[in-house]
Amino acid sequence: MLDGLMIGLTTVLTLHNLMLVFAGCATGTLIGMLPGLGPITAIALMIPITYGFNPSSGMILLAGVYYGAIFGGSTSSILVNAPGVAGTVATAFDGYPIARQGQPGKALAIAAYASFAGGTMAALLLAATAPFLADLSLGFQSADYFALMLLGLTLVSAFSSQGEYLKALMMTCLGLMLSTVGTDLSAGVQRFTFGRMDLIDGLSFLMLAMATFALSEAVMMVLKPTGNSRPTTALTQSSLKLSLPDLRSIIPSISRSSVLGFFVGVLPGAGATIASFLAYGVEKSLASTKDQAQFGKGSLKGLAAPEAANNAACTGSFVPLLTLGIPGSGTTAILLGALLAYGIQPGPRLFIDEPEIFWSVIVSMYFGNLMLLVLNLPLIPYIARLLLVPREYLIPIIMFFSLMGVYLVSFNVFDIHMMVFIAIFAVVLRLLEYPMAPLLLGFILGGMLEDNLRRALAVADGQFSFLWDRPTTMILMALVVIAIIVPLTRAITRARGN
Amino acid sequence: MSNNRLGGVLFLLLFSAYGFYAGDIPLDYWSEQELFNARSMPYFVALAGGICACLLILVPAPKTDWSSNLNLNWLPACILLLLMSLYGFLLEPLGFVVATVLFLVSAFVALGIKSLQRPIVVALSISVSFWLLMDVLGIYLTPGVLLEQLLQYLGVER
Repeated sequence: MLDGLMIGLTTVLTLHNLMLVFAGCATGTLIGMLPGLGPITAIALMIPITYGFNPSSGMILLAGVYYGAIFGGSTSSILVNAPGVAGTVATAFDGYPIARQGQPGKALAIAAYASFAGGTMAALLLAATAPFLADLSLGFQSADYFALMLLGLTLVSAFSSQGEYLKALMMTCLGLMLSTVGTDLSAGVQRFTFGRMDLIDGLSFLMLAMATFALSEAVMMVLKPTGNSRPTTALTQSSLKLSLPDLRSIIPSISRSSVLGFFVGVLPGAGATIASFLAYGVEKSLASTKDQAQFGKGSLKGLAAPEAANNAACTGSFVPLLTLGIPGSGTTAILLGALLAYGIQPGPRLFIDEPEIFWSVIVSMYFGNLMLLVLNLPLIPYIARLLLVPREYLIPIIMFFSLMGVYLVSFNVFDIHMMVFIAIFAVVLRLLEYPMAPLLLGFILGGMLEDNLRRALAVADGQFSFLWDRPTTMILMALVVIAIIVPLTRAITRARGN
Repeated sequence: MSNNRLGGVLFLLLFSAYGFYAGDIPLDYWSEQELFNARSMPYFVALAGGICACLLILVPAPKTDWSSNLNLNWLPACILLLLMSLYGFLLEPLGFVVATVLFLVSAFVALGIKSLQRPIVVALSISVSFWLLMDVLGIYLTPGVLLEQLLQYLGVER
């Protein structure tokens, strides 16, 4: 592990890569701060820029964007009570009341320290567990991978918010469907291209991500404008300081929430949202009666706990991506797409074949958190001015960058029309309350799922017995069945009860 | 009707059509004999999608209040979608700078900006600085077919 950390450190500790970490954190904060835009959009917008870098530098930049966007989401939650992403909703419970009490700087500083501590502890846990898991998964065969991918897809739906299970499953199927457009590489035949040359290579994941997240978010911002998005109290550098008693009161909450957040983040589909709510609930139940009354009215612990947990969960979600090559969330699905675009296949071999990428991502997470604290926090008073830009200007600019992000990769205007078409479809689905992340996950995993199924069937002489021949596959398939049946039964029972 | 049920019906139609067209994927004789060929995955997905859609239709769900959706800002949103599509059509004939300025100014106005002066300044500065940045990075952005033809007509070499 120490050798690996040294490889990661030598890769990250160059001026170029440190600047990329900083640029990523700052850009992520800027984008994540805009209500409605989260880390998925931020990363999708930045991917075209990373095509000019080597894979390590590209991933370092994107990891910085990820953390920056989460922190930016917390900033808008605290300053204007408008969470950029679901993962920072719990931050607003106590962060906004603290800001309303005239202490926005204090709230932001707590969020930054908690994020830093959560991210750092989780990065250490990741460094300790990832190689072990990668070693373990080296023994996996196609059948195991097929079962594992199926488990990832079903768990994402199973962990979706209450009552949305079927919709999430539906979107996963839609993502799988879209992944079959283009040339089937094993047989060399075209599928669902309708004779169009532009579709021969299939739909690009970047286009799909931009259309379903960035563009449709921008259109939703027009359709459903939220109220005032301007901070009420001015921020200054001096207001960002914390007293020692404040720090002492939040340290135990941060430690507990960081560990909890990491392990929740490792589970596919669980992610930052569940981690932050869980940490908030745990801290509330552990607090004294007097402290409990403060929750929801400006409790420091109530702010620190979800912040530490959501950052730790973000790091935790890299475990399945880096060790198994399976994304556990929409954001890591986008990162997987970026890795594939660089020609890198994540999975257990990544640890052995591309150690500098594997370790530089882990080390850059630590540096990303450090950058957020040391460089980004002092910049917050200036970055927060972005919230003063009127939406009438902001929305078309977001649309322009989304369209250009895709056009500059293919230089094909067909992609622009396709994006608009998919964005319309995505807006309709959003209005019908369908989640978008499972679609992206299904799309990214679709090709790999098909390849592994084909390979597993070839090895098993065309027999589906491969599903129960090996103990690993059988256990994973049993978990798939549980992940489908349990939430489905619950959904049906709840629907009947209503 | 609940949004679950409406979505379920739409998805059932979509996955039925998808499954139907999966049968049109061309296969040679040997591929047809294989257990798993280019049509297999689409058939599996169509089946899974169809089952999910049926469950969405059959599982009872509370009725959706559609009136809230009627009160959304549909007009500016539709105009923006139309403008994006138009941007795609005009990007190559008009060139990057002109098409971008037109797109941004129209979008700003569609979202309620009254005066034209500031939108034009903002749009011009964004498009020109983006074009210059791409030029520095060596990325070619089309100057526009019309401009190219005009320059060719005037005998100006680029």
